[in-house]
Amino acid sequence: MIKLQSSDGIDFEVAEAIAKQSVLITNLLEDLGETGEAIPLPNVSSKVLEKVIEYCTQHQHDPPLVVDEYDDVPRRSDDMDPWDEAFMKLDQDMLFEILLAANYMDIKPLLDLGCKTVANMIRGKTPEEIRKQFNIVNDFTPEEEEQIRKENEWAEAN
Amino acid sequence: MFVAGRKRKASTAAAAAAAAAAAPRAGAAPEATRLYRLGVRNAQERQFRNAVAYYDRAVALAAQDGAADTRVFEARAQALLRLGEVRRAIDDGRQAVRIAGGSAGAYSCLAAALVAAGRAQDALDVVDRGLRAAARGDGYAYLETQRMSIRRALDPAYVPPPNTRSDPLARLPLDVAEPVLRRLDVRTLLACRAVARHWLALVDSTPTVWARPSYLEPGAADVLAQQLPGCAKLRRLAPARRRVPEKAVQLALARARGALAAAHVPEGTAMTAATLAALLACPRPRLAAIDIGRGAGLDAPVLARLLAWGLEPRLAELRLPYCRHLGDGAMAAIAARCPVLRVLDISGCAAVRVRNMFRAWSPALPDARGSTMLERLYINDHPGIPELLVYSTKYRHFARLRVLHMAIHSRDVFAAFAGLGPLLAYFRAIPSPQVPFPDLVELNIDSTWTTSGPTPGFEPAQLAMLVSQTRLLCAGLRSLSALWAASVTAANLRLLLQDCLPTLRRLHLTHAMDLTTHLLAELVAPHPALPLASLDLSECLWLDGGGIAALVARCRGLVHLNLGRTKADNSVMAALTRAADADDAAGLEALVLEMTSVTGAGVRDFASACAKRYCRTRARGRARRLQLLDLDNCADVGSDAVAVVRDLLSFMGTQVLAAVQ
Repeated sequence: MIKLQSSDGIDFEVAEAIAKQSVLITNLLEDLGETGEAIPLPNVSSKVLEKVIEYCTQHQHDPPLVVDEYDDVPRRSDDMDPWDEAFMKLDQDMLFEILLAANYMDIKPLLDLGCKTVANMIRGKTPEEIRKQFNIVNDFTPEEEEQIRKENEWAEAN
Repeated sequence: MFVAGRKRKASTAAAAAAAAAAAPRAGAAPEATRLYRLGVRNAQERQFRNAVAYYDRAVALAAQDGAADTRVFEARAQALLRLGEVRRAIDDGRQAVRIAGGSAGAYSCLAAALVAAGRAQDALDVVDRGLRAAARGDGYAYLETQRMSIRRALDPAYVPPPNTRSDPLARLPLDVAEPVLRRLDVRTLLACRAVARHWLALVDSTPTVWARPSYLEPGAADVLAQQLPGCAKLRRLAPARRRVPEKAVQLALARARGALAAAHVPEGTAMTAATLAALLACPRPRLAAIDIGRGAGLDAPVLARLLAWGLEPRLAELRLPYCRHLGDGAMAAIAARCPVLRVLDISGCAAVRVRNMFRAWSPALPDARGSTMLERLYINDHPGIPELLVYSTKYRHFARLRVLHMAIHSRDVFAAFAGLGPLLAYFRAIPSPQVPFPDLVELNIDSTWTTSGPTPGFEPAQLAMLVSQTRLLCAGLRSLSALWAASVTAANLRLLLQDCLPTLRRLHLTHAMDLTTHLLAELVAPHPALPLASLDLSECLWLDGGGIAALVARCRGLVHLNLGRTKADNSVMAALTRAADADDAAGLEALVLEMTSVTGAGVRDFASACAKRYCRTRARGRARRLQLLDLDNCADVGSDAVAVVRDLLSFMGTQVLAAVQ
């Protein structure tokens, strides 16, 4: 078992196979050896760490990803791992927190899943819809906006 | 008509679930809700005209009941804005505010319409009214954001406070934001540029985002049309792809700079002097692919400059389909300068002579038995197809091919052809013919087995014979497309299919007159289960329902199925209904049954099973949606049955086609 300590000082005990999905932890364990002491994760709060461990627990037995580029079998267009899909149903704030944690802890599959989810939130939307999605203020002046609209003609036209 | 259908089926669990899922609001007819949902789906697929038409009908219907739904007005206002009909959008926004006095969404929608009309001050008033009237909840935070946007537009000196909480590009570091943006198509990237200043700066200053530009637009109908190319109707249903303007391509190229990995000009976009200049200005340390779509109009000097620029030793992919000026000289340069080329598309490049390709590559190969690195070859509409087959039976140049497309969409390329006589004599004299492409995974031989009459210089029967005799289909094949295979004989079908059937995941074999029920039964009998996911047997007129049912029952993974114009009947429907009931089956996404003998009862049971399955799978977080059900010209499916089926499937947004001619 390996102990992980969140930024707010809470210890989590997890199996080695779960913790080692994080390249950061794998490297730390290699460098330091197993000391039995908790590994501090100063950038990850307990709330987020809990979710990250939930993801790693679910995927601990996943075989390494082998990409067969000829394997373009007709799949359902709405196919996504149902567990992953449910897992990613988070509020935006938590989603970004998990992305940051996955980046910091270097957990590539989780980072990929998060990036895919955020990309899906943007894809096919108009600028106004994107602003709405993420509560972004349009800080262009009307002149700047006109300039970009000219460059983006194709994206604006229907 | 709908009421009758609903009453009849009201007792079934599926109908109850359907009604619950549709969740009609008090007073509004379920039909209005259905129309609203259809409108939303059309809007998602950027079919704003259609969307507005559905919303119009929903509004009219609700008005009959004396009801009105603010959602419909908000959605219509948004669609109208996309169409540039600002005045009507403002009216709808006003209507939405009037109906739902406390909804932030309604105010936000009216404000957006006013901004589009250039009435920023009025928009600000509306937002302020909204902030006072609306309860904190959905859309409230956005209303505040909108207020800041409008203030900024009215007063350039006003600087809105930064939002580092919910804005991904402000919150996430570049090494996380970059892979998000890298997954987006060019159209969405252009939209991102127009979101806010820091979005524009980030998108424009991150070259890797533009390294492999994709010009495909997201849209579900399009996907189905690609998955079932044998069903021409789906192409008509899919939204027409718009031509990508040269300016967008140039903009993408200018931003990719040294990161450029794929020099891509989408189909139908002309390669103008400015585009060529933008391309040639890109440093190419990472260039791995050149993909110039059909219709670029490359003339000889432009092609020469492009190849001089791009034929790099690490080039892995070269696509120059329908490029009239690509000839033997260029192919020799490609063979000499691109040793690791894996993908080559020379479809319709009639000036390339295949026998010279074999010669061009010979010196580059380590020894007489060596092969090129080519893994994917697209040589559709090419007069050299027969030569490729014959020479590959003798030489190993292309023995590593995994994917081969040699479909014939147009006979014009064969106009200058002198007939196959001498080539066939050569073929017969090859001493120990080999399997030409032993590693083949995907093969497309559309229209090489047709019967239609010879065109000058070309006899289809000879090509069909070659295709049958060169042992193209081998164990391990996963995808076979052989549309319009009218002339293939039963003996050849048996020979060809028995090896590859156990591994095939896609089989598109249409118009095959010799594919009889008896033959099919013989082929599938040894296999209790088959991995087929996409099956198109349309217009195989001699297949009866029992034969198809036996095949379908063995394929748990079926996703796309086209049985149009076969003798498919209720035995097939029973097999499909059983599969829809079974949770281990993949679940159909598209089913085409046009002009078959299925009956209303059979289709109804199937629709009911699909609806139940949808509810079941949705509860578990993975909804299995049937997207398309085509019942056009099914004589035994009456209009009342169609109404019931529509009713059963409406809540999952299935498109049900049921035209009668």
